[in-house]
Amino acid sequence: MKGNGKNKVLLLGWDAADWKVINPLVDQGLMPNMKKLIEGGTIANLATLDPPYSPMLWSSIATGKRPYKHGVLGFTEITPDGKDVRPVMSISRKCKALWNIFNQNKMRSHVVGWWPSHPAEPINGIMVSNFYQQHTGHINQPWPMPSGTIHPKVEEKLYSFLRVHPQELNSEHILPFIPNMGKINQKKDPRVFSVAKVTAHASSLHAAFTNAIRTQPWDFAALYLDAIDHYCHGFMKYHPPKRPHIIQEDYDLYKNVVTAGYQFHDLMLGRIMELVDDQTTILLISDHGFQPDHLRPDKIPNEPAGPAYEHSDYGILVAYGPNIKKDNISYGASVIDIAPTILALHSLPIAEDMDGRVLTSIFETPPEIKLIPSWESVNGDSGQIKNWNSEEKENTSKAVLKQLEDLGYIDSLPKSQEGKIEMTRNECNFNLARAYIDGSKIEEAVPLLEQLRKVDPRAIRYSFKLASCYQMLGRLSDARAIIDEIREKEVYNSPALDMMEGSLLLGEKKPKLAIDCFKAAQGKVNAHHSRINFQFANAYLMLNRWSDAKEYLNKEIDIDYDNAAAHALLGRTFLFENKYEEACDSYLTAIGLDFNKHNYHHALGTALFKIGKYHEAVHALENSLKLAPDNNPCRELLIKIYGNHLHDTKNYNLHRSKLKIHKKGLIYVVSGLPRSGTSMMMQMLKEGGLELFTDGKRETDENNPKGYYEHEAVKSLSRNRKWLIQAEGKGIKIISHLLKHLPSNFDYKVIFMERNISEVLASQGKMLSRLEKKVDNSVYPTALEKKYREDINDTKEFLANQHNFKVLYINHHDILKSPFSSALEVAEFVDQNLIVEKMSNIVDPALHREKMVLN
Amino acid sequence: MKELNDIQELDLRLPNGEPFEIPVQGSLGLLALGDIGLMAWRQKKLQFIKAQQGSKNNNTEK
Repeated sequence: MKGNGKNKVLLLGWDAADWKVINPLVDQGLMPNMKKLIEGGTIANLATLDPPYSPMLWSSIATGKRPYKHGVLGFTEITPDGKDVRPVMSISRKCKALWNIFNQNKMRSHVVGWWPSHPAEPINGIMVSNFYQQHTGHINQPWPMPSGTIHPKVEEKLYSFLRVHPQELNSEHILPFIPNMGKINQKKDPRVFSVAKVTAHASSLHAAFTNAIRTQPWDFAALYLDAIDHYCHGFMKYHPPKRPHIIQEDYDLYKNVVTAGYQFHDLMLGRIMELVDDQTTILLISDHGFQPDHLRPDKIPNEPAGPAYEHSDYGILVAYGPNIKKDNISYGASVIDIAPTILALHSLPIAEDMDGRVLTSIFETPPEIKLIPSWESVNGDSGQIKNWNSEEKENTSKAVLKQLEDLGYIDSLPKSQEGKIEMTRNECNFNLARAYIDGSKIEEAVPLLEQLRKVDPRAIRYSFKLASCYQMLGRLSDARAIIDEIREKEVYNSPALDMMEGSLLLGEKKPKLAIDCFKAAQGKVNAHHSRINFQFANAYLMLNRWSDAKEYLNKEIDIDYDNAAAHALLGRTFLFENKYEEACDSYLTAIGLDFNKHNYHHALGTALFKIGKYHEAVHALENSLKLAPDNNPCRELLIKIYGNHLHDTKNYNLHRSKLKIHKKGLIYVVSGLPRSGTSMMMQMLKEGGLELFTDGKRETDENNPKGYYEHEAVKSLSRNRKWLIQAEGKGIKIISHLLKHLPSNFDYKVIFMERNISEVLASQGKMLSRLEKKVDNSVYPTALEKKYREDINDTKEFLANQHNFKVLYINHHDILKSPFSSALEVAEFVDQNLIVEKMSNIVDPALHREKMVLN
Repeated sequence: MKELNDIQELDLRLPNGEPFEIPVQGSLGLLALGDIGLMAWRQKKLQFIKAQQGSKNNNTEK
């Protein structure tokens, strides 16, 4: 209803809308309503999430949370009883959407077609589920709506009537898309009907939405249309310019479908703009883009959700309304920012458990941002469905599953029930792992991928993703094991494997070998999807060959200007060359494309500082700290600028105090392989006067007669680090392979015990024998020795690359030989006035039972 | 199309105030008008069908 003077928000979702299509159409005058919105408002790229699958993304848009929090993990899911598979539904969402929050705040919402939203939730307003527009059968047959499609039920009759069946459309509706449709034999070519179907579905949802906002009061209204995505998946291949492999006849017939689809949406947008008053803020968004140009893939990979390969990383955002900046461009928006921004528009608090932030840069006057820990714990009627049971659900689910199969979003489900369930479970777990990786929760992704690899070792995408996770975690030998196994078993041999191995070799600091791998793949992989030029640049950067690196980065940018990482790496190259002005330009471009990378802002701040632009540097560094408050080197540079260059005492003191908060303390870590003398070193520290973090649960025994000095919590370090704060200022024993899991917001002094690996293995063997544990003689100790050596090398490399780790390597043999001088070395390293004499007194050479006889 | 009987005659006008003649075949523009456009088109179709039936009946009576 128009003109009740209240602040209202209208959210329009156009799945897959892309600026690269819209901008030329606006310039040609073919989207006049969009032009009005752009000129009177703020536009932005809207960064998508990975995986870029619509039900997951639109759930993130509605909740402000990543998929591992909202629980929608793909197109389909296993039913709660574990016996069947169904499309994802409103009840799949584990947290509140915007309309649930508004419901609790006595506000009215109309929500139409949101994916997923079936069954419709009983909110204060009208909800039309995403099953609404799905037609079944011939136009003359009955077309009942599935139970739960409309809320409230009393509106069912009207909304049922507002649906448009594809066969109701005629040539008047289709000719704008396919001007020469008369030449097509529709019995043989189903593409004309597919245009009718998509257009009818969009018309149904638009009719329902316009009726709701026209006739009933509201505070928030949301309409989701998937038509652009469908027009694009069907016809973007025919969109100009023609590519060589496209048949001329097809091109001539279907080249206008995408353009006409956007024009139709512009007409619908115009109608919606007529129906709202000037107190309404309109947000028009898409969840991802759709490649319209030379980046269109020639082939779609044969894997579940393969069509998503045609998507691009950035959707669109247009904001238009009373407090929105006009003719403005905003940077760094992401799909997870939409829900917090809409809450702020309604003066409601943002939940701290939301992953997004308020897009303050779109506002003339940024709203006051209030915070609450979570909306989930707020009581009151949210309109969420607790239990749902419908006799019709089975048939409806089958129809929707069929549609998803036809669209290529899900593989044809196996006939056996077990097969269906297993395929769905694997797909959901894979999507969950990808979502974790996208949210920088690599450690959570690893067990899921390990399990998937176990279930289906031949599925190469699981292996690649797991190897890449291992690499990100610094577990290079684990990543290497996967790649070597794939090569050895020859289960897969393609240029993609060369790319993967090249990337691993970069991690292993072997850039020359990496270049060989990339060269082997060159020309055989899609230059855009493989990012091969970017990888070449990484390798040349490692070899300090700046001009080669820049050449490849410019190639990468020529292929895809929107590749933020390429611009950032180019900036890094300029930084290495002390070309700070150029570095600033590159980092500014990278930030414009991807605002949420704190390291881009930090690097920009550093470059600006180097050229004496202190005010601008402060702005960049402050942005970096908003995204990563624990980035102490960044804060230290900021303090330096405020103190030495801007003489801003207030901010200098503010950041110094924050540095203390964020700079968590120092932890003294004793590390090494098990049985390398770590317990002895712990005892030395204790005797010297350092407080230890131990729980005494592991009792003294024959293997360690003076005690183990361990803490149970250390075993969970890869999953839980909350307890680590208790170890601040204390000594703690952490075996070498867990060091990589230590968080970066602490500083560490690591006393790393080195011992001849054969001695370590002999000691471990005796310990196992004493514990009466079976020793596998087939692998022990030769294979273990090799593995230990690799692990130690990996760990040393990891330690060498961490700015917050200081390491002292102490040889076990040296301690026994010269206890006092070793103790002195340790005490000086620890720098806590330890009593060296007491430390050295506890060393008992008699415990050195596995000393090797050295020739 | 019983629901159309419940709807009053729709009065669609061009920006210059002139009445808009709804085409029987419909158009994308009418669909883009949403519920109003859809109903207007369906109403026009209904009127057209009734008129045709009327003229058929008249011809039969003659």
